[in-house]
Amino acid sequence: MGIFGLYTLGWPYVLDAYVLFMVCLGTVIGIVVGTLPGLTTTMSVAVMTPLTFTMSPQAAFALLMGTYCGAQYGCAISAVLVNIPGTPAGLMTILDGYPMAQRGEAGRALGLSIWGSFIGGIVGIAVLGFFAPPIAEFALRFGSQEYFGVMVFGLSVIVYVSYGSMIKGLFSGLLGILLGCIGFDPVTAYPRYYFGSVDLMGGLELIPMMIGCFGVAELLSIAEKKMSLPKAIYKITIRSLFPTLVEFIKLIPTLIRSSLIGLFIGILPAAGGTIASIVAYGVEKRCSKNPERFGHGAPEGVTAAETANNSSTGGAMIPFLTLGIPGDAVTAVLIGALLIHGLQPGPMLFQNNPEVVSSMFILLALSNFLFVIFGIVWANGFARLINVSYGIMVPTIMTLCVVGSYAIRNSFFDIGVLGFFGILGFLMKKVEMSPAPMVLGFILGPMIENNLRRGLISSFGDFSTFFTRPLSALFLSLTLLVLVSPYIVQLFTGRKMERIVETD
Amino acid sequence: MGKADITVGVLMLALCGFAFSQALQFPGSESVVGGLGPAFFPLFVITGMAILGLVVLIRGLVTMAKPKAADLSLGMLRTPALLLCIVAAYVMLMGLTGFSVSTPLFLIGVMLIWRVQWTKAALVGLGLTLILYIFFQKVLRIPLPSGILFGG
Repeated sequence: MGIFGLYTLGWPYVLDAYVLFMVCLGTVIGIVVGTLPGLTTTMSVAVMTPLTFTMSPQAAFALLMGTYCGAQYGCAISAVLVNIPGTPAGLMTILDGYPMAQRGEAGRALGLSIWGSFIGGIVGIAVLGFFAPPIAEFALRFGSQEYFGVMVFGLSVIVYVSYGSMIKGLFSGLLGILLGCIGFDPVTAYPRYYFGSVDLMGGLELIPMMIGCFGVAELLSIAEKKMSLPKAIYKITIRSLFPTLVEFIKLIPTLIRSSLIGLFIGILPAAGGTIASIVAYGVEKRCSKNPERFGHGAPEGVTAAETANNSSTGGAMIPFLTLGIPGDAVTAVLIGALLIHGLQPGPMLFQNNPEVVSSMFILLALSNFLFVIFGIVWANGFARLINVSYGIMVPTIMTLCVVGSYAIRNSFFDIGVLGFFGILGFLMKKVEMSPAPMVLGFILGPMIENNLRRGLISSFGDFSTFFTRPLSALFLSLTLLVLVSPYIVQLFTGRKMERIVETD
Repeated sequence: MGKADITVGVLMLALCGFAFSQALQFPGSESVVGGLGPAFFPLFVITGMAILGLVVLIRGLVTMAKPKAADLSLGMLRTPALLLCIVAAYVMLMGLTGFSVSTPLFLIGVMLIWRVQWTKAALVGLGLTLILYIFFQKVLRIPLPSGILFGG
């Protein structure tokens, strides 16, 4: 694929009435779900995945990419209006967005987050389109040993950025790997941990597990807290959503800095929008002439957080598409979606289905334009959604979870899997153990085992092969560094390193 | 986390013990020439899990003296447990009567328990069922359960 292939190859597939309808539908659904307080981006994409089952890959990703982008923006609405972050990245939007809304500038804050998200998103997609094909090309030369190294590294970073204690995060990741062992073993086809059940022999189904962990578990938490929300009573005029020319020019440096920060952080495997928005916010505060305004409704704060958050989404796509490593919970869900369409993410995807990769990039860009349009035209309608009571929201989404899990292979057994992981995910959150590493471990585990065992067969059982091949050795050393560094920092400074709080 | 950590640590170790005893029955590495058998990887992962479980347990025992408010209690699980029971009943009913009868009952039932207005609950319950039915069955052509009482 040439440099511009990523931008051009997919157009014939995208310019189709059905696909275009799906991307519009996805964007609206995403904004709606993102706006509803307590519902996360990951959850919205996970719940939508089974619906794409019978669609073409392009239509499926139109719906999912639209949902992804829409939900990213929708979270800003609940952050600004009622002080509740839909996603972890929303934490930084709250800091200045909510004070602005209280000052009667809700429209202005929303406008800034729309335009910041849009510019960040477009920059991310445009620049990273250049990087993805060469990285994929390079990764084609990877053998089992290199894949083993990269995947172990991916898993370690994911554990690091999940909330709660790192020990529990690691346990959660390993538990996922163990769950991935259920069913036929990849080399000898010996059935493991199937307990005499035919349904378990082929392994656990990924989608019901994910919907359980990210959907049902979340709904149970909402039911427990019986969230009663402050009513949002702000009236938003369409005019207020457009910043003035003077204001926009003043924000240009912020936009550039935050886009670049988001971009850079997004490329790192597993370091997604949350870290990007935190870093961008911090940098902006330091660059500002009057940093004391930050936290009391500074427009730069909202812009920086939203811009960096969205420019990192293009970046997070890179390890996901080129290496097949999920960067965060959302890309893990997207891997599940690719798999149900018979597509294996990784460098071969660029070789075998370049049109699919390209249409994903185009659809991502398209949904960036769409959420701006819908976000502006229906701003008041979306804002009113916040007042929907949990009594309607919870059963509605629960129905979608149940029906979606059933629909994957018309199986009531999968509804059981959904329930099991719903309860497990809920209880894990109660004891400060994030379920996200478990899902990622479940995806990566079988790949890690497969590459480990194939690597060993090709080296005739010699383990040193993983440490003597340079790239594999590099990634394994990085893994060690990631896992040990917080403790070393603690040892030298006598202070605990602050960890990123991730709520989904 | 104090006490909760002890419970969690014990549960983690119990899980490891169970998975370990199962994995011992898998064929070992002698079954594959120059490679690893089906038992190696699970055993390796379980060992890691057991070490982590032990760390959590020990940390729980050490910090037990200073309990925090965040410990688990059964009282706060009442609403989620109720919701789960209703969902389980819904799924069982779906097996009997099919999607289109059980879904509105479930939706309207939960909404009424949570004091949503009668009219609103009925409207959302019936409307959503209809939308989902059309979307899955007609647009996506994914069959929904028709139940053993009414369909085949």
